[in-house]
Amino acid sequence: MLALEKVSVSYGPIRAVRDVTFSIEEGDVVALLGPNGAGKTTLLSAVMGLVPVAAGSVTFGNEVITGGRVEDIVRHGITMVPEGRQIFATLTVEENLRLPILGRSRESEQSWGMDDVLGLFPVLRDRLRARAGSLSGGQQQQLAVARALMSNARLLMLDEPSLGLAPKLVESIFELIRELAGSGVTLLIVEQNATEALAVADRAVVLANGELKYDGSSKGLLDSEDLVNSYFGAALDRPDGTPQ
Amino acid sequence: MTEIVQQILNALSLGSLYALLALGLATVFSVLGLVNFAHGELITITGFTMLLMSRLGIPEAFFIPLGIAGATVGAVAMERVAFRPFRNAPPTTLLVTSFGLSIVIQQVLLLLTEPKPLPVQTPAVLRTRFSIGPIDVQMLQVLMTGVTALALIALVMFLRRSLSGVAMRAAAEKFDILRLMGVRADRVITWAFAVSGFLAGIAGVFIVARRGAVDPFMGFVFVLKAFVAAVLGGFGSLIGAVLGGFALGILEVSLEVALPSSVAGFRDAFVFALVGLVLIVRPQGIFGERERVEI
Repeated sequence: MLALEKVSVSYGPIRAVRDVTFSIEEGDVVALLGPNGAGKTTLLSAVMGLVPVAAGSVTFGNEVITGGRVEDIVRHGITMVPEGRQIFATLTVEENLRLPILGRSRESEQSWGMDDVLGLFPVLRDRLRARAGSLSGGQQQQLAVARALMSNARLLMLDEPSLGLAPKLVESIFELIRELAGSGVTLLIVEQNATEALAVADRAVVLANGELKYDGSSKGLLDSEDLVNSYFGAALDRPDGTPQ
Repeated sequence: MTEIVQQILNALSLGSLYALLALGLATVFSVLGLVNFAHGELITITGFTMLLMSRLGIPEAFFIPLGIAGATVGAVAMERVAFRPFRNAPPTTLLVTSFGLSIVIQQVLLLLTEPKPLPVQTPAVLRTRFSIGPIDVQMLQVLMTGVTALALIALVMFLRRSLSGVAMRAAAEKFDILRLMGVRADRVITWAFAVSGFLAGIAGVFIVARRGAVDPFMGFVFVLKAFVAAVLGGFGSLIGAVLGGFALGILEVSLEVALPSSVAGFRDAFVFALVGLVLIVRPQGIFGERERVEI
């Protein structure tokens, strides 16, 4: 579905991502992990066309989307929920949800309608007329994901979905991600909370200093003491709750 | 009493004019971060479109819609030809481009026409007067206030009810995030320029009706006043632009009445000095929000 082939991204003289190659198949739930400054958000931004790809290629389906405009990439079926939720605070919940309809390509089949997303996020149904800025942090995160789905996303990329949320809300966000995964949406999740991310993801991709360090099953990552100690340390709990 | 009502009408009609123009400036600024100093030329384009129509012998009834259409098309063309190539350039580049565009339009019109004001025939309805008791009312003043109110209501409906309007509000808040929804940036920016051109076109019709003539430089003073009104209201705030326009109109008319005739010629200097004082107290304008700097 999505294939990155030797992708590099530079900010001026600094190479933030270097020769990264991995692919995602339809229905996969992939956790993109790594320490701060590893290049995770930069990589998502490059896939979306928000930052230019210095070298390599990004393919979605059968089409090369490297260097494409953000709007066109969204119309292909990739959507990103950026870090910090980035909802339109002055617009109502309903207006936030309707906006992506304007961005849908005419020929695209409608896979997510308003009723579908409100079925998945019932709390939003009760707040449709409320200003999005008045929602709680957890509700805003739900709105951000719901809005992304309204773009007819086939691949949803979530950048730090739990960032800035209270622990109880973090649980509900990961519960939501499990539900999304269960509904067949392909997910790529960038997350500092590696324990939670690995609990929902089948696969993990680890970046450090802009380079790919691991691409394999979540279990395989958890079983690799070297990788865990090098890149996550005490931040990662084993499934049995044992801290590293 | 009659004099007071008369001056209220003057203030409302002048304020309407400034509100329409300031709102056009603020609409483009809120989406693109550009202060379009070529906005005044849209007034000029309206006037010259009306002049052209009268020379071509087109019936008077079409002057107003075609004049407004001329400004709307002119605004969209400005974006497509002059601003789009510099979309990702620094704000100062866009600002200088708008000054350059203003000069180019003025000079082209100068080459094609004459530097002296050319009389334009306006529909008779704009020149009629009527009396309400002892008060002499110009139809133009009533129309200026009424049409401005209708235009503002229509704009609010567009921004709230239509998806394109909602996208414009979203763009004013977070432009890049709107693109992540798959909404084409070009489309939203084109809408913003079309709205600003439409509003400038309405203002242009009224300005031409007041002056009865057009010249290539007629837009300059008005864009300057619109800029002051938008700054006064709080740049980027659409409501602020409208209220700033009315505040400026009321201020100008009040000073015209209050100032002794020996200093009446310095009215604009007094207006700008007073606006300056307001901005010292509230640098963000009357309705603008102060930018927070986090350290």
